Amino acid sequence: MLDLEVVPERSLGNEQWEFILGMPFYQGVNILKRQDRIIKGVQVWYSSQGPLSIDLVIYLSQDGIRLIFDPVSQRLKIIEVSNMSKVKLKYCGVHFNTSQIHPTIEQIDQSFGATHPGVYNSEKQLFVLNFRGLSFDFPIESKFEPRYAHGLGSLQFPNGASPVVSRMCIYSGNSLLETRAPPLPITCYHGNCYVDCLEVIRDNKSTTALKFILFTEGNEPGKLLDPRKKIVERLVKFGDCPNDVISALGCPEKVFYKSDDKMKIHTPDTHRYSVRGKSSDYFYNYFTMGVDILFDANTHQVKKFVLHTNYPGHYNFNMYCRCEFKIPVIIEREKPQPLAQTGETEEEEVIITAYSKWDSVQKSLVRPDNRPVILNRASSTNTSNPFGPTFCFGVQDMVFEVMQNQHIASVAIYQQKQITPVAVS
Amino acid sequence: MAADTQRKAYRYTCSMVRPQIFSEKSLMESVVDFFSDVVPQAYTGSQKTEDKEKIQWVRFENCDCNDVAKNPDMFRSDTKGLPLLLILGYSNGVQIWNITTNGEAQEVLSMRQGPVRICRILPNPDPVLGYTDSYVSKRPLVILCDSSSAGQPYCGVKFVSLRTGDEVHSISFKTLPVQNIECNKRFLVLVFLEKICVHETSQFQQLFWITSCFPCSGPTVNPIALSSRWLAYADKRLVAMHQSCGGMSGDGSQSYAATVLSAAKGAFKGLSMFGEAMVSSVTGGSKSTPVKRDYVHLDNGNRPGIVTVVDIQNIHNDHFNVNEDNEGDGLIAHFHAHANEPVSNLAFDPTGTLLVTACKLGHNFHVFRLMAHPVSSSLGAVHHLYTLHRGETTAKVIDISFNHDSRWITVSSHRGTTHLFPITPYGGSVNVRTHCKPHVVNRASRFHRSAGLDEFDHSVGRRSPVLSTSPSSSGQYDRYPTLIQQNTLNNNMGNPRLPPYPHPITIYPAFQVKQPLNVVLNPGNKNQSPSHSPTGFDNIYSVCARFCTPRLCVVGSPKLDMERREAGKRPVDSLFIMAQSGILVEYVLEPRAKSVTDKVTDDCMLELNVVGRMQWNLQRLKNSQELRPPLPSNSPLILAHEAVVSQIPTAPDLYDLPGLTRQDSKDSLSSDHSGKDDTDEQWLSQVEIITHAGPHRRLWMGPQFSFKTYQENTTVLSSTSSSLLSQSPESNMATMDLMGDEGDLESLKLQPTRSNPVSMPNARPAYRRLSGSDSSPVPGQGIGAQSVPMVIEAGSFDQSPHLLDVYSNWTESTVAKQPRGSDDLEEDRLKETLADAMVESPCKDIEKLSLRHQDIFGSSNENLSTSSGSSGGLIFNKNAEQLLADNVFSMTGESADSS
Repeated sequence: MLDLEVVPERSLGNEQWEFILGMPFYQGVNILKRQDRIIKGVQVWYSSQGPLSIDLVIYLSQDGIRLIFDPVSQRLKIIEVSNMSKVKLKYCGVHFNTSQIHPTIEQIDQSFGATHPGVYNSEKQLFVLNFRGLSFDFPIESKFEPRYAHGLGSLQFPNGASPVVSRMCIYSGNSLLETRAPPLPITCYHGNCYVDCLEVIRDNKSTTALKFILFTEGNEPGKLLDPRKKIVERLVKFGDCPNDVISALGCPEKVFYKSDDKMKIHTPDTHRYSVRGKSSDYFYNYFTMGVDILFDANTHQVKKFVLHTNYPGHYNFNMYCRCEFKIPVIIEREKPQPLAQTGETEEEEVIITAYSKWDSVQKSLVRPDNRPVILNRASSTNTSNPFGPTFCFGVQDMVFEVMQNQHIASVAIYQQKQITPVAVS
Repeated sequence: MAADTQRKAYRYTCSMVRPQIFSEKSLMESVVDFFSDVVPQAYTGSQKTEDKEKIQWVRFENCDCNDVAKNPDMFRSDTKGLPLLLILGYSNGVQIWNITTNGEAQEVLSMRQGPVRICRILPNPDPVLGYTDSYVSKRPLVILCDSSSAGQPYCGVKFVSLRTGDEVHSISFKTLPVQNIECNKRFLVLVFLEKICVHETSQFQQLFWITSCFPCSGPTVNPIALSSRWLAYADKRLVAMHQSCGGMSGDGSQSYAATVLSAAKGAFKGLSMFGEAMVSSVTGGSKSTPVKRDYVHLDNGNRPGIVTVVDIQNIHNDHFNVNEDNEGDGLIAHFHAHANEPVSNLAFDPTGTLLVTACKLGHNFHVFRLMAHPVSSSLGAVHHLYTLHRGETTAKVIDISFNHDSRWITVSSHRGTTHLFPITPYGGSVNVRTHCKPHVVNRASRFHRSAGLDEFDHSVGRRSPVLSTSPSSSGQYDRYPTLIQQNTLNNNMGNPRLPPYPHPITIYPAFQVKQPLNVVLNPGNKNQSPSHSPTGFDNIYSVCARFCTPRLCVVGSPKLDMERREAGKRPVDSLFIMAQSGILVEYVLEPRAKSVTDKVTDDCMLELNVVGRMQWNLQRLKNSQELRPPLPSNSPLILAHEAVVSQIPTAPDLYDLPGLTRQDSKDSLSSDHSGKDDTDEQWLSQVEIITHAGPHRRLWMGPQFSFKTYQENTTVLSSTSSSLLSQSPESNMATMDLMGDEGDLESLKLQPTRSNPVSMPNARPAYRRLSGSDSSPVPGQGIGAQSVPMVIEAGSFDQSPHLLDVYSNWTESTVAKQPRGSDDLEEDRLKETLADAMVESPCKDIEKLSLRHQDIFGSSNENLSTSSGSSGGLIFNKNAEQLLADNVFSMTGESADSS
């Protein structure tokens, strides 16, 4: 049985690990994976149709703990102990919930001290005791209800059968109902860099650069123990070399060498050879930024960016953090006939973000005859990709991978070949 | 060859050397000649040497000619490789050779204006700092450091235009002799004793000075390395607050800690002294002074073996120095590279992320991977990937080179021996798998991943030894404020800047290319004053090596086609070694499995077979004509520069493909001649299927985790889903909402045929279901109506070439759905057996379990559909959560069974 320390408004954990409010989803998963001998039967709950509308939940079914993540930021919002009998809990090193010590009202009062009078929810017959960032639910029979006004302690229960906590929640702020996932706590940075916002800078239907607003922990010289969030703005362009990218973003977490490119068959100029024949382009994987950068094997220059949105229900879920990108796409469309001569076009800007739904932007971006590519990732060790295929659409110099629920799973931005004007010769 | 004759009509005329078949004997003779010239009393000089000039130094050059990224000629469809550019320094001048892809060595420049210490060809500038090019009409330029500079000899540099022949610019350093010049498209770095001066390349404006370099006694008195924008140099002091995590860790037996802490330093130093003594007694010259000088410096608070890497573009002062007072802007890494010995040579790999360092003893070379942090060097890390063990005798490193994918390093010593080491850019062992393919393979093999070796256990097991043996890496975590938290290290999943760091692997040379004679360094030359010779170091046999595409000709027989085919298959480029004797040799490298047993597996040890293929004698004849700038307008140097500037490939009449018109070559570059259709479909090739090495088990594959969805459409899980489950071995996934688009997909008849029943099972049960659900929005309106989308299947079998045939079935998109036949049953059985092997708990159990999940789900679906249907963007607690609680509690017991 897990024996965990409760820190109101902050965390639940033990000496080896703790779930901290504001922690990214992947870190919570990593803790659980490391504890795979102790914590089993973990369930991940999400909404496949509306992944942004319902919370993302990790449920530790054998430990009665639920980790509720904000579906948009994918950071830990509420830590809930929903079955007090499956876990030992302590506060300031003193147990208040074990198999011997029952979390009665008296016990809570003794361990956590005084607080405001609790709130009675007559619909659910729950009496809720709130501390800052911590609340306890007590199921109370309706016959006690009329007398609760003077606080729970004033209730008289027959022969000492005082109610025990049925649910405990740790959250940020004062109210469980209004709580939001706190910003990423500095203790969860782990030396990584995260992207606040990634702006794709475009000019005339092609991408010129990517602007990263990075945040990371910085340290002031001489103040080594004082962690500070540091925000920096960095640009990465096509044609940049690895040095440029690393100077801007730091080293990648992993480098992945493309062994063979299945999509090469679609290259229009198949007669084009590289100088060295077969050689492997490589990706710099920035998992915590949700970005991959592809370098050419021969020139060692950036030729493609891939931005990931990490929606549950995608094959790559939990590999990347969500990249909060913003892509302004300028689209030309023919003006309505009465106003303009034929062929004249007007421009319109559509901003695509990680939260855009494809069906709402599709009409303006893709001509109806633009055929998608169906991408069905499967694995050699597992017979199928249970999430079903995704669809890829080409828009200008980008490829959008769209999931079946219309959310964008990834965007690949590639370098369009420099077309040398024939006239120059 | 018909092409040959046609080419000659247009050809650039110059003195030219054709390759000869490699012969050990002629190579030997050339070296004998070289030494008989130097040591007249030992060998009686033959007539041949009389008419040849003596080469002082040799160097391969990168410039517009062989710039893969910028030169449009490299993108031509008929490109056959990269030209090689070679600069030879003579006591009376300099000579530049262009060795074309056909194997002809063209002399492109030859000057006899007096001794030249350094000559470099400047590539066309890349104006990253915003300076405009002031020498547009003069380029290409060469930079020369010769005795004719104003003031003292070798104390200035001049820029000479190859186009006009003018001296367009010069920089004088009064009495400071220039030791070396490094340049690339962005920066020009002038190296002095203990000092470095960095200039940009558009107007040659001075950017900043570095004056804290640790001197080395070797031939390279101030070693530096320049990548595209980083500069590595040997620093005098270690400034703790800027020190990067990691750095060198122990060389196997001799740990760093032991070296530093051993009070006497006796054994180590004694050995090195012994080595020195051996060499000097052999060579006749006794040099013990440098050793003493190093320790004097130590008393000044300086430490040998420190390397600093700076980002030139981020240094905004006119002077750079690592100290406690500055914030460390522009500092990439600052670390200990060698224990107690000064750094004698440094080199970056082509990506600029690997740094190889050599110390003065030359026993071991260290390969580091720089893991920079975007904000501060102290938050970055340096991984010591390899220790390359050369030998136990002292040697001076005079040249280091990498091949283009950083899998091979050559290190050449002052005795003319070139050591070839196999490495990987990511560390770890080298074997047949990593080095016998033409492309770079990923670190973890399929086997490793499927065995789960790559995930947790590895790092946990390694943590303690690394930390305890390497004090330079321990004690550094306090740099990371969050590392104080105890759970941080436990939670470090992917951040390579945090410990545990990889432990270096010792690599022995796969091959040593020796110059034919065991070079006996010449004592007779000692009385010459250093200023006499341009380099100032006479007891060195200058050698340099370069990996490059093989030259496409076989002497005597025009088997060009065969050669070409062969070249595409080679796992490594040819190695070109130029020696001071004047002979350039192309060696073919053939890595293969060491034949211990008959069975060749991926993990087999590597063996390298090196075969000399061709050679060129490039030594300048005394009576040869000079070829001084201005160069003719069809000189390869000028043409390459023009191509780079205009981005138009050089006219094909300079190449040897008679059928190819100029128009064609341009089209192949722009690639849009085939019309609109092509450009519309061009994006297809840009779809990325696999971008990272995924874990063997995705999170959703269980067994620890199972994924469940809130059901918004309860009709999905109808009775058909049980048949779905029975097909699906990974039934942890059974409750997954598969409703998606299968209706639409069915209507598209996307069912790929299973033409190959033995292929890995990748059936998608979802497709087999009859469409029972109401259709949800189709991505891509009108797909069904008029066009058929393309189906691409991919997955983590990316590593395995054996499985590629699976792909053969993807195009069958129009084939109608097949009835479930015996093939499918066969396949199911196969699937089950495989799944049994993969899943930890018996397959059947899970199936049952998931069926139960299904049932439970079905029963409570009414709740959900009513609540979540109306709850867009609601607060979770209200309904979904409630439902979750209800469902989940009832099944916790069952989940326990499964795990």
